[in-house]
Amino acid sequence: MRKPLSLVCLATPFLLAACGGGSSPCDGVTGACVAIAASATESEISSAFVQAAPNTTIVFPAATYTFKNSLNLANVKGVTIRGAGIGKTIFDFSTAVGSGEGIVANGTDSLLFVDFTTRDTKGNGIKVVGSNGVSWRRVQTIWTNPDGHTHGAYGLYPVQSHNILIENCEVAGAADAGVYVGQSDHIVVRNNDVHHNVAGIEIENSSYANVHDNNAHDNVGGILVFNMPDLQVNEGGFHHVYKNTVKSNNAMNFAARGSSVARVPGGTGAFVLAGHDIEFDHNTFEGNDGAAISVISYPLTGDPRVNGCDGSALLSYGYCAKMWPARVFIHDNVFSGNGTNPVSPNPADCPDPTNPGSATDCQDPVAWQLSLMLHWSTVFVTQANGSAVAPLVFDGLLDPTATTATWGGTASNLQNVCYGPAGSNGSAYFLNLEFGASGGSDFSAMTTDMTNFHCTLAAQTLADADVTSKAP
Amino acid sequence: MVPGRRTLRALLAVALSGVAAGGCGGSASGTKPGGDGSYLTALYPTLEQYGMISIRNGAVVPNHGVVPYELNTPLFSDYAVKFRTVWTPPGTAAVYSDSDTLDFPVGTIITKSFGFRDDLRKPAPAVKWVETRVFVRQAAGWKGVSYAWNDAQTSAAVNYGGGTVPVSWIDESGSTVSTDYLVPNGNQCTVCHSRRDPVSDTDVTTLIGPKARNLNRGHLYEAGEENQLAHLAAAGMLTGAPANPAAQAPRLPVWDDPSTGTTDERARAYLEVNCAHCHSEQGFARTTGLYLGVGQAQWSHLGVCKPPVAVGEATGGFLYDVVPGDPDHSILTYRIASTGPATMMPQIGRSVTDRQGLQLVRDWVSGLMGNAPDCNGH
Repeated sequence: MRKPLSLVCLATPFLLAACGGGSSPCDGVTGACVAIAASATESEISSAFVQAAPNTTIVFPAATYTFKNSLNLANVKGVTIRGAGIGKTIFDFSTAVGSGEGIVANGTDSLLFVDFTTRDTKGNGIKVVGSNGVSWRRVQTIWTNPDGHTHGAYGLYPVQSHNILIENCEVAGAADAGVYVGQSDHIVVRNNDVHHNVAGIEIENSSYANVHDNNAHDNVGGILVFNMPDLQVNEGGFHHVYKNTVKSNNAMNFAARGSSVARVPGGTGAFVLAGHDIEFDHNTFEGNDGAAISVISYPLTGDPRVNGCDGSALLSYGYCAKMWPARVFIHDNVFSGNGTNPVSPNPADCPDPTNPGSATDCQDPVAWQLSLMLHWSTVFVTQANGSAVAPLVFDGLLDPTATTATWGGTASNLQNVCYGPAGSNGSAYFLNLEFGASGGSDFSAMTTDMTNFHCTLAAQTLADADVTSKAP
Repeated sequence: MVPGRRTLRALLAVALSGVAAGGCGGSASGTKPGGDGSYLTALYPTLEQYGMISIRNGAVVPNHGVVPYELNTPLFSDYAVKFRTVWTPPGTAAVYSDSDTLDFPVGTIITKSFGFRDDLRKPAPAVKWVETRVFVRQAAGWKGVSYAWNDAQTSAAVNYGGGTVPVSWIDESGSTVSTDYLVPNGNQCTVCHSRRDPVSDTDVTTLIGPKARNLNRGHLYEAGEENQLAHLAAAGMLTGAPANPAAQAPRLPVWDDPSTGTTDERARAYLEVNCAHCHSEQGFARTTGLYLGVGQAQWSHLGVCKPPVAVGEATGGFLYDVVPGDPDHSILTYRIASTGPATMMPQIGRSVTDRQGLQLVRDWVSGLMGNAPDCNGH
C-alpha cells in the first residue's frame, strides 16, 4: 500500500528512511517533511513535488541532481523546497528535453525556495505564477555555457503574484533578466548579487516594489523598471529603488533580437521605461560606460502598434495613456566613472553605419537607434561640458494628452520628472533629448538645461515588513 | 480524403472488432466502471481499478457503459493516436454548454490513451500504447494523473513523476522517426488543465477538450454512426443539449478537412486547440498577452505586430509574434516549427514538429496580408 508522502517518516526506496535513528535532513523542520535521498531519481523527485501535501517541506541533501524535464508544483499551499546550500544542492537542467524550465509553480501560496542552486536551464530558472506569498532566500540560479545564447530567459521569475521576497540570492547569465518580477505587487528585492545577465533586475508592470541593497554588476543593464503594453496587469508604479550598487554594467548584449531587452544598450546603469511614482535614491552608479539612469517612454522602442494610439486602437487596456514615465524622482544618488565609453553602434549590426537614416536596413533598427542615441548624446554632453559624464537622460517625449493636472507637474515638466534640487545627484549632468520638440526624429533640440526638472516629489513609503510579514 | 482520418477510422474498426471478439458488453478488465468508488477521494494506483478500458489485440476497448468519443480538432501529440472515453455514474449527467466545456457531474471519469503506430503508411498499423491519462471529477474539482502501460500492454500503473519514453515510427514518406516522448508529470497536467478564477484569484483545474463545438461530430459506435452529443444525450449522460445537436450546436472545423472550414477557420481551430488552453485570459500563459481562442478578435492579442513578452532566446531573431503575410519572420510559426526545449510551442506535450499543423498556421499568417495591420506601417 502506497503511503501518502505527507507523512514525516517514509520508507519508500528513494526516500531517506532515517526515522527512528540517526540524524535526518528533516530534523528541525516543523510540520510535514519529505527527505529526498542523494541517489533519488528524477521520477522520484518529480513525484514528491506532485504529491506534496499542503505545508510540506521537501528537503534535499548536498548532491547534484540532473533533470530531463521541469519540476512542477501546482495548487498547493505552504510548500518549502529546501536544499543544503548554494553550490551544495544543485539542480542541473543542462540535459533537459522537456518544457525547458527548471521549477514551475502555479497557484502555490506561501511558497519558499531556500538554499540551493539551479544550473543551466534551457528556459527560465524558477517561475512562479498566480501565487500569494513567495520567497526566495539564498538561491543561486546560474548558466555556465560561455555562449549566452544557450541560456534561459529569466532566473527568478514571479509573475501575477503578490507579496514576493527575493533576498540573498545570486543570478548570473540570464539571457533576459536575472531577477524578473512581472505583473505583481508588494515586492521586496534586497541583498542580491545579479551579474552577467542581460538585465540584472527587472520590475515590469508591477506595483509597490522595494529594490534595495542589491549589487547589480557586469550586466548589459543593471536595474530596469518597465511598463509594457497589452498585459493583463497593465499599470506599474510606486517603486522605491535605493541603496543599490550599480557597477560596470558593460556586458555585450546577448539577448535574442526581438526581445525587449535586446534594445538595452550596453553600459546602462538603470532604465525607467514608462510607469509612474518611481523613486531612485542613494544608489551608487559606478563605471557604467553609458547612461547611468535613463527615463524614457514606450514609443521610443519603435513598437508599430503605438501608431494605433491616434485612433485605430491596436493596444489594449488603455495603454496609450500609460506608456509615459511620470512622477519619477531621482535624487541623492552617487555617480562615478560612468559614461566614459558609451557603446557605440556596432557596424556589424547595420550595413551602413555612416548613415543612420538607413537604419531600416539594420538587423534591429530600434536597437541601433537607441545605441546611436546614447552614443551621440554622450558625445554631445562631453563636447558641451568638456569631460565625460554620466548623463541622466530623459527622452523628452511627452504624452500629448497630459496637462498640469495629470501628474501635478508644471507646464514645462508635465510628467513631473524630478531630479531634486540642484546638486542632489552630485555633479552628474542631465541630458534632455527633447524628442518631443524634435518630433523624435533627431537630436537637434537636445539640451543639458535641467532648470525645469529641479523639483521634489513625495517619497515612496512601503515598508519591507509589510511584504515580508506575508511571505514565508 | 485525409490520411489521418482514414487511419483513425481503421483504428476504430480495430477497436470495435475487439469488442466483438470479446463477445459481450461486460467489463473488459473485470472491474465495474468506477471500481470501489474510492477514486472520489484518492486516485487509484492502477488504471484497471477504474474499470474504464483495457487493451485487446492492440486496441483500446471501453467497458460496457463507457462511451468513446473523438474531437473535431485534437491536440497534436507527436503523431500519437488517442483513444478517449467518458463515463458518468448511473443516474447522473453532464450539463450542456454552448461555449464552455460540458459541466460533468461528480464521479465522472474521463480517459485519454496515447499510442504510437509502427508505420503511418499502413491502413491498420500496430499500435503500442504508452500512457493513459485519467481525469476524475471529485467533489473538490477535477483531478488527473497519467498511468504508464507495461510492455505486455496488460496493465498500467500510476505515474506521478512523468518521464520520457523512447518511441519511433515510420512516417508517411517512409522515414523512421525516433524521439523521446514526454509523459508530463502530474503537476504539468495542471499547467494546461487550469483556469484562473478571477473572482477567487485561485487556479481551478479544468477540462479542455469536451466542449460542444469540438464534440459536435459523428462517431462510429457499435450500433452505427451517430452524432456524439446526441449519443450522450440519448444515453442519459447529457442534459440541456439542443434537440438536434448536429444542426443546432456550434461546430469547430476539422483542422485538416477543408470541407469543414476555410483556411482561416481551420487555422483558428488548430490554434485554439493546440494553444488556447494556456494562451487565453484565464490560462497559464495569461501573462503573455497572446490569446489564441477562436473568439479572439483583437489583432494584438492574436500576435499581429506584437513584440514578444518574456521570450528570451526563443524569438528566433524575429521582432513580432505574427507578421501578416510573412510566416518566415513570425515568432508564432518559428516556435511551432521548433523542437528546442525552451523554444518549442506548445511547451508541453510534443517533441517533434506537427508539419501539417505548421503548414496550416503558415497559410493563415500568409493570408493575413492585407487583412490585418501592417507591422511596418509606421
